[in-house]
Amino acid sequence: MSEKGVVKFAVPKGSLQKTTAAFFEKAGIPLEGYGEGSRDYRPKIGIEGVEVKVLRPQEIPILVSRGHYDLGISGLDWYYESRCEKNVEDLAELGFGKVHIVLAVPDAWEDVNSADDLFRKYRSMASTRTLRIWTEYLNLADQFVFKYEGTEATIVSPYAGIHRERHSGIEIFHSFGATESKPPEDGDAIIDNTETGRTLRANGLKIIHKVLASSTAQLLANRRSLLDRDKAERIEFIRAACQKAAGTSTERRRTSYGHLDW
Amino acid sequence: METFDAPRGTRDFLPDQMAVRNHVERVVRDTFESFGYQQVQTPTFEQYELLAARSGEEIKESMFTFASDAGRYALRPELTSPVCRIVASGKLKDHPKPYKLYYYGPCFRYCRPQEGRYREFFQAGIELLGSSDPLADAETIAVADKVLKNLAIGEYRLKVGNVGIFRRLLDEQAPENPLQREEWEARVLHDLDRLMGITAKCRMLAGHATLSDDDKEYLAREANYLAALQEEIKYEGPAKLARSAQRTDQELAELVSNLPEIGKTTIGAAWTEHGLLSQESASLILQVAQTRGSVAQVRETATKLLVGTTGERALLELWDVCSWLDALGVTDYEVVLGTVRNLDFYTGTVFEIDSPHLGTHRQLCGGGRYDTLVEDFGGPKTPATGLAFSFDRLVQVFKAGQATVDATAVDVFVCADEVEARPRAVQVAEQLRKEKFRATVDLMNRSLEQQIEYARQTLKAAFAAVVRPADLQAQQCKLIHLASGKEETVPLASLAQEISRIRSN
Repeated sequence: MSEKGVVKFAVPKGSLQKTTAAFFEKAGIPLEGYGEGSRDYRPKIGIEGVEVKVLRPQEIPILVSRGHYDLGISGLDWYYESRCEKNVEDLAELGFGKVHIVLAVPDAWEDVNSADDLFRKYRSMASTRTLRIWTEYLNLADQFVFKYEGTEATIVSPYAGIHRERHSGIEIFHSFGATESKPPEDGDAIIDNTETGRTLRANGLKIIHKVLASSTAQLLANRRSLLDRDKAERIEFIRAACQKAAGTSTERRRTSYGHLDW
Repeated sequence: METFDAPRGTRDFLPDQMAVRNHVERVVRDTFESFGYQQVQTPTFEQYELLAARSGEEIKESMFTFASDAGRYALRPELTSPVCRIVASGKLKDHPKPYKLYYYGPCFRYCRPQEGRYREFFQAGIELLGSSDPLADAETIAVADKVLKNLAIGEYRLKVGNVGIFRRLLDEQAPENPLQREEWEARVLHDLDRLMGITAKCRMLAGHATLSDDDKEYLAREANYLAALQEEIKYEGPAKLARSAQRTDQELAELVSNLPEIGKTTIGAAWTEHGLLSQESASLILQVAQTRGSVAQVRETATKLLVGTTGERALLELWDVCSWLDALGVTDYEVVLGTVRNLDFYTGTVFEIDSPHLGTHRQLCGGGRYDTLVEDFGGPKTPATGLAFSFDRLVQVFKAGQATVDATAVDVFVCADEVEARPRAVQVAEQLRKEKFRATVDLMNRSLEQQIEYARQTLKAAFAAVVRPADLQAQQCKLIHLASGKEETVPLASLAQEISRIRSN
């Protein structure tokens, strides 16, 4: 058991690592032993009562949700994918590590230029073949299909708890990497993250829909931890520093055709 | 048992809050109706295609959508499209024009809830369809102004402009290829937004003796942004700015007066360098962007700037609207020439009202002319103008002011002393209700002392009427004015009269 009031803070390993390190440097609370090339999994932060651990961003929302960590940094994509909104508060948008979660299909399909096109195409030949979508984001993909088609797709995975057979013309395949390489022979479409779309294009794919636009790094907190006075104070200190370092968004406010700004 | 809270980003409004909200709603409705508007109500959800028709990717993703039967639907994110759908459908074709329609109701957006931003929020607004008269634009602005005056909201800023000025100036310069155009517009509009932000902020700070930490940070950030832009285009010249992690207070104070000019020069140079705009048009557009002030202050400069350009006609429209505003008694506003507010939607006059009492999301009201929407929805060509209030923010600003709202539920609490007096107490309460008083009786078996205490402390009722066993024969009761404690015995026949008499004193 950790000491009372100690805040356990999970920071991401991998692609978000370098930018997270730079961000905390800028926020005035540098993480010692976390920068590029570091193999230390337990970096130091200069705040009393805060312990830091390096974990994969995919693991962080779920660990924060279950209370093993009080605070964490991960992308909005994995926050949503982990379906932990009920237990986890997204305290601050940090602005870096921006990716889009997109639906992409082979470039050669001239008749498919939107999600509607794709589903329509497969609906019309439902009796002869299924629509195979590869992804690491099983929940986002599942929700996406449900939103468009109103039906549950079959989920194909080696893990019993994840695998789900449905009488459905749509199959979501559990991808373990290099998702962009599956189509056209092993899959019809993918749902994957992309920064610029370059990798997708290089693999003969085109983006037809944004499943989750502009996912950036978020500061996440366990809601229960926010009720603990000692923890809340430390969390607030980190949140305030992050908010300040994040500044205001430089993007133009997008507006709808309504009278009030969106 | 698990207990449930309201879903994320939604709120429960309790009786005290509802008293205030209902009051604000009533004032808003009365004001709309005083200008001859009539209410319409549309469904909470619409066909997804209607709401998605003209919105960008991000907006489509921010709608609550669901599939049912064979259709896709979305909870409405705003109410202008549903109203225009009605008009486009021809359901109003037997009504005389112009249509003056108002609405009030919940709207939904799938967003990250934060202060002042909810997933369920309320909008109240008007749409005036069928008139292209500049007086229609001015009257719409006057309605917004009147709502705030009627709510005794003193502090707000009204900005009036015309998107036609920029729309036409930019149209002339934009690339023809639609994809390039999108990127080009996003870039130019972002820079314009930024420059106008800097100009507005510096103008505000110019009057301040000292700068707050937030202001310093803002200045440093914007200065570094411009310095980075200068580095990128290898700018050398009088507006040259060095990137710096630490600026002294002296340097920051100088930025307050220099930054708008530096911004203008830098952004203009970057546009020319990147081949977005010719030097001449860049300079014109940037000068327009920085022109703001009272009509008297900007009239001459603006006219000189735009004479002979494609923006001139829109400017003349703007002056027309301004003179009608004068006639309508709306005088306290700022003309913002280079407004780019919602360029994809508006076609002419636009206005916006901000309140200093709101945090990051300050927009209280927005509105303007949108002459193409009804046609886009398959209807006849219909000039249109309108506005919407963020009702939640309106309530917030109202609460920050002086006005108070009666939140009590009851005027007269009718107490029964002893059980045999209860039937009479019920009759007395019913008699008072007929006279339009709000009256209740005890339902919790309280003693007489407890009943009076409950009426005074909890209900904060103005009066208690006590029926005692001895009063049953005499057809009378004891009336207590709870604030003063004054008591008197009153015949039942004149009870209502007596209460009215004390009240009006």
